[in-house]
Amino acid sequence: MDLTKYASLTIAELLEDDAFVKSVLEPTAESVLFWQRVGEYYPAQQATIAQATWLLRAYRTQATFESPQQAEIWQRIEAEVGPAATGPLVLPRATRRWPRALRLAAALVPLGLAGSLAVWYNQEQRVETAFGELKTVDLPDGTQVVLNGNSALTYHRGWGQNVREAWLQGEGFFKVVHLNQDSTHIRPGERFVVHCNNLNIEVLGTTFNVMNRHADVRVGLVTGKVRLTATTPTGPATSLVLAPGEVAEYAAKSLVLTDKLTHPEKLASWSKRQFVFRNGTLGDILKSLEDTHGYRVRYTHAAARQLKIEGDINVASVQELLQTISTILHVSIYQNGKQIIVN
Amino acid sequence: MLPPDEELRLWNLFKQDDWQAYTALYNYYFKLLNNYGHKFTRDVALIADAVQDLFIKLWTTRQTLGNPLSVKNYLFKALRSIIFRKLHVRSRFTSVDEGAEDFPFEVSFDQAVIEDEEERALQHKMRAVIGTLPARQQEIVFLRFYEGFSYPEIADIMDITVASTYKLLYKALNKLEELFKGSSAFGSSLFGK
Repeated sequence: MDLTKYASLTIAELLEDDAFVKSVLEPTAESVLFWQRVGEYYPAQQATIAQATWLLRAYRTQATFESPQQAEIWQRIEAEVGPAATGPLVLPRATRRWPRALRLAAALVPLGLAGSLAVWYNQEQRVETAFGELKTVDLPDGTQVVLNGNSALTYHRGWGQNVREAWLQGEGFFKVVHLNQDSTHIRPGERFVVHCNNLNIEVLGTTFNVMNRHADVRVGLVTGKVRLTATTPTGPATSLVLAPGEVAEYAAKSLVLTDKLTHPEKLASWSKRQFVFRNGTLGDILKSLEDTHGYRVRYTHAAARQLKIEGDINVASVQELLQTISTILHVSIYQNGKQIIVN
Repeated sequence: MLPPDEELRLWNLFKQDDWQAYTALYNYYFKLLNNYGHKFTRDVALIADAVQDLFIKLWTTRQTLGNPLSVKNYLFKALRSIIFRKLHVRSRFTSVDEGAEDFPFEVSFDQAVIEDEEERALQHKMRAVIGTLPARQQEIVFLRFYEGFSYPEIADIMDITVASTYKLLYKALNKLEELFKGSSAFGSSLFGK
């Protein structure tokens, strides 16, 4: 940078200068050195530089207004334009009941508030869904999990400085809030880990789908980056990093990449109560009805399970799904309550 | 503060419907925007509504948005115009004055404890001078010295020309410079501190 332009500037002129203002607002080793050099070259300018610096700093000793409504306003925004609000059906929200420990704490306040709070903080929370039921779970850090039917999510109420951890059975779509700002220094509280049997899914902030059923875990990433680590009691841990669109499967103690999706957002389509399948076999498709909706499927010819539907199916109801399958594959499907029979 | 390339990355993701990037932008800028809004009005509910309107509009129009000078600059500009509209609507019901409105701009300072008597007196005078500046000059001083915006960004936010920005700021700076007339404060003692 050229020093000469600073040979005879006034306070006002210095305060007009971008480089000067920046060096006071966001000083770097380099900029501090530069202004020291200006002072050495032009000793008459030292007082001016000091006075301009003082003015800037004195002006910045301001009281800041801190709105306590950050979460509240966000909820209002989300209710109006959030992903749940734009889906075809409004998802039932997980009801926030006072945990029993907290109600107890209120009764016992004079006796031992700290103890009760500790109970509340460490209390295990478990959210379950029935067949065919969807639930949106709001975790303490703002992360949202949409649980598919016949699924369960467990976590601890107070995460604080510790790693954010959750345990999943069944299927869930995760929208993890990104807390980390400096990827070279990740604090424990910024990690988010989902545990599925022996598989750990570690993230900072992303959206991804996890299905953990029948000793088979499938993880599909929509945005961001996740690391999967499979631990076995005996052998070494294996690990895999997923990029958006990639799907990995962990079954029979092996962890492999199985797919690369061009439209990964479709992984979450079930959370909008849509049935989406791609190149699926009849067996796979109807299996998901059994797993998430509690149907029982019988085949008069076992071979029918292997029938494959090429391309995408994207429908909004079980009824529509069965009709579509029957038309495409030329099979008769009878539905009687929760019984489905394929001829 | 958010590094410019990270800011731009989030902005581009957000424009491609990334809800998470949008959430991140909200969380990064919520405090700064509220603090800026608070300089125009002490009506906290009005500021909350304005921030809410701003982000809802941002999401619903995301596909038509271009690339602003900076995301921060864009958000400040949008919030300012929403707040002015709300203040204008309200003043129609409360004020009998028609015509040009000049919405106030007021910063409040910390209760800093300063040991040095001369410096304390100077601080006191500086605050008094700031308080006497016209609202728009105060706003420019705030955007430049508190938020660190460039001249083109300030001009964009306040909807004036870059030349007027220079002119208005220079007027304010001249008054501040007079504080040191006849004062030998900080010969070099504070330099580099």
